[in-house]
Amino acid sequence: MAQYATQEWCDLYMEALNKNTAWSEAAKTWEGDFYFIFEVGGPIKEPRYMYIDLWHGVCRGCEMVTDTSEHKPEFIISAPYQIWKRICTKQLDSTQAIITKQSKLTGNMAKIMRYTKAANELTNTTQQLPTEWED
Amino acid sequence: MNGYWGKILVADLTKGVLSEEPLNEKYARDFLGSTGLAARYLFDMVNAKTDPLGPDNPLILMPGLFNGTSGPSVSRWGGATVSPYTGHYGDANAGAWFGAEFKNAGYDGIILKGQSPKPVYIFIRDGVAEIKDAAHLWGKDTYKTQEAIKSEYDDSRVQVACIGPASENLVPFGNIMSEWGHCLGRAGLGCVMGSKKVKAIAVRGKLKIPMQDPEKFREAAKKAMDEVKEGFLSLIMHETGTAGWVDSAISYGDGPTRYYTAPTMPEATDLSGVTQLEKYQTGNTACYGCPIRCRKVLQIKEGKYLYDKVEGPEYETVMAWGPMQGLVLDMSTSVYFNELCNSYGYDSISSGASVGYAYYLYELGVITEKDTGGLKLNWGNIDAAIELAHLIGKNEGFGKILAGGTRRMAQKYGRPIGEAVQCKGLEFPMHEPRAYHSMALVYATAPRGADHNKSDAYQVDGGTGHFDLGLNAGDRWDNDKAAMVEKSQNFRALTDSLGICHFCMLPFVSMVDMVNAATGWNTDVDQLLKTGERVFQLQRALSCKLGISARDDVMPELALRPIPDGGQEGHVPDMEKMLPEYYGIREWNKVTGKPSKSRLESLGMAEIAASIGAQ
Repeated sequence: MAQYATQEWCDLYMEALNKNTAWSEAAKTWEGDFYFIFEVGGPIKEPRYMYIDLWHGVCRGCEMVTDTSEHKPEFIISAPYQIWKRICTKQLDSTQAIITKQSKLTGNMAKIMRYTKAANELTNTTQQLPTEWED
Repeated sequence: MNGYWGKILVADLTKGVLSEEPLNEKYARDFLGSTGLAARYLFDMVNAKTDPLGPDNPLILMPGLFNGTSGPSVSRWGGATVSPYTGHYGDANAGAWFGAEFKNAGYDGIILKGQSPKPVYIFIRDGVAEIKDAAHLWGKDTYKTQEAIKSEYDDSRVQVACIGPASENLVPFGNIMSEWGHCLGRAGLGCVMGSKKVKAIAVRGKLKIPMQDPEKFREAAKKAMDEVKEGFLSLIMHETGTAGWVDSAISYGDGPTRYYTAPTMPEATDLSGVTQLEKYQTGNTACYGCPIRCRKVLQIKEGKYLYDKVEGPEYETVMAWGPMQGLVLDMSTSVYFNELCNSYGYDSISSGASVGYAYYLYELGVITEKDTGGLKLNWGNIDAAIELAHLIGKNEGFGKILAGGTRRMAQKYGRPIGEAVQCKGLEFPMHEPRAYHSMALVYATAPRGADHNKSDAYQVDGGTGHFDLGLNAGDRWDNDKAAMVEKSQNFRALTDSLGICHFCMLPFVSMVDMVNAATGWNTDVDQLLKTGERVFQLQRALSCKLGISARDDVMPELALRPIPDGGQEGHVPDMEKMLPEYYGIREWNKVTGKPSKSRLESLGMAEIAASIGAQ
């Protein structure tokens, strides 16, 4: 079991995602990368940044970064740790989180709308991954 | 009475006379406006023997309570009648600009009675109404009719709600159309208007509705407007429009394909809101008072049908005239189908479903070219579908069969009634109950028949519910949906009566503030939700009065066959679980389907309970 928002967790997540055929099928034409930002609050004393690169149904990279200038991703989703936890454990729908302003999306929403199932499979994969939470 | 004009316009078309009657203030307080208030008036005027196309069937059109105000997305107006299509309760609501102009013209509604011996239209301006000759308009399509009336008054702000050739020809699912392609659709309100020889109602209003506290209303409305402007759903809808749902439908199996027998066809992505945005869109346009601006203006420069400026097709039409018949369309042809439905003025959902069912029957060998007038209805035949779209509008040949809808088609061709994918005679909209189980319950129990506008449960489970009310996303294949569906139906009955668009996610407390500032009622969240329930239960009671019972709350068998491939993954809704739970929550009788006496009385409707003999 790995702690959420650590490099160990990222490695396990990338491996799990690449084994998830439902995700790879839903995302087979997807091209785009993300920063997931964990805002200060709760157990998070400094902001954390997870970079994930998704391309044609393959996760090409998933890493924690400290210098955000390392990548210029197409999308950024930012939320407090507790919100990420609720999304990852499927207590909160990712779309609902954005609509209710519990998380914030930067990027082309229209492109995201084409891939709602792929987005949900990202969450399904997270839910299935044994995860240690910091609170 | 603040928030209202206190008067209804009554048109006796048989005598050619207009009169005014005072608004029933209790009805207004209990049912607000639009489809809620119209249903209450209708309840007193019809019974199971009322001929939908006879002079005794009224057509009642009413603005929503908030129409014409500074609230966000408050354009929805509506109407009610006995449906010539389904034979029981029929209602509809629409957006665009007619409702606001209607409200500001000085009436709380219009009741059309009787039948005119000749074509007429009614013009209302600032509290003055007149019946005018419409011989020169009869036969014109809905677009030309609107243009002609606007030019008569040399005023582009005149709003016109009219019928087209389809309703003149008494196509049972004929629409009332306004602002070019915006319709009071589904239940055949246009057909009733056609039977009365009323070609149009035109309105122009510069009056300002009296309010209890105009300043407080402005404050509440501004707060709500700011929320809606920044809302994520608003931003999504602005970008992709309703057709943005197409890609999600492909992923989740939500779009009926080859008449409910195949996974949602992926080629439909070429018609999606995102494709419209990326390749064809030149701008957005909006309904009255709406900051979302979800309507798309397209330019089609390639394909068989070219348009310099045309409104983009909505999700429902994209799916109903395309995947439903297995058609692989380009944007040009999809827009053309949309324009055919709009200009003839008929329902794109039921018409598309009827044509889809015809293709299904043809592929089975149940009907042949002898039945279809020589058309080969193999899946994917675009030219045949276009020909049928014309024949439906003209109510001619095989088109006349299709205009009767799938239930009548099944009866005519000796097929099991469960093969016709409809509830209570009204075809399913383009959201599959096998993709979202909640929709099975929505369709089976909605008062006018299968109706995605009486509850947007698919949106709730898709992540865009109303969180203020606890309408949160759940597992789309879960069968514990009765409570969510009941609550969302009540909520939508409320917002429809207020005149608020479904895509406007304004905080519920703002809704309460706006009602109180407009009317001075001092209502609260619980009372308003109870009003929503009252409207829904009234519409159910009216359905029962017009002949509906528990045996009509059924899902058609064809829509319960699993499709293992694609986004449905073989799931089917469990109606044996969901429906009894729902009946329990609603307190509906298991045999008669009527709401209980005690429930109706608790909602202040003792007279309704007595009228239908509720137990």
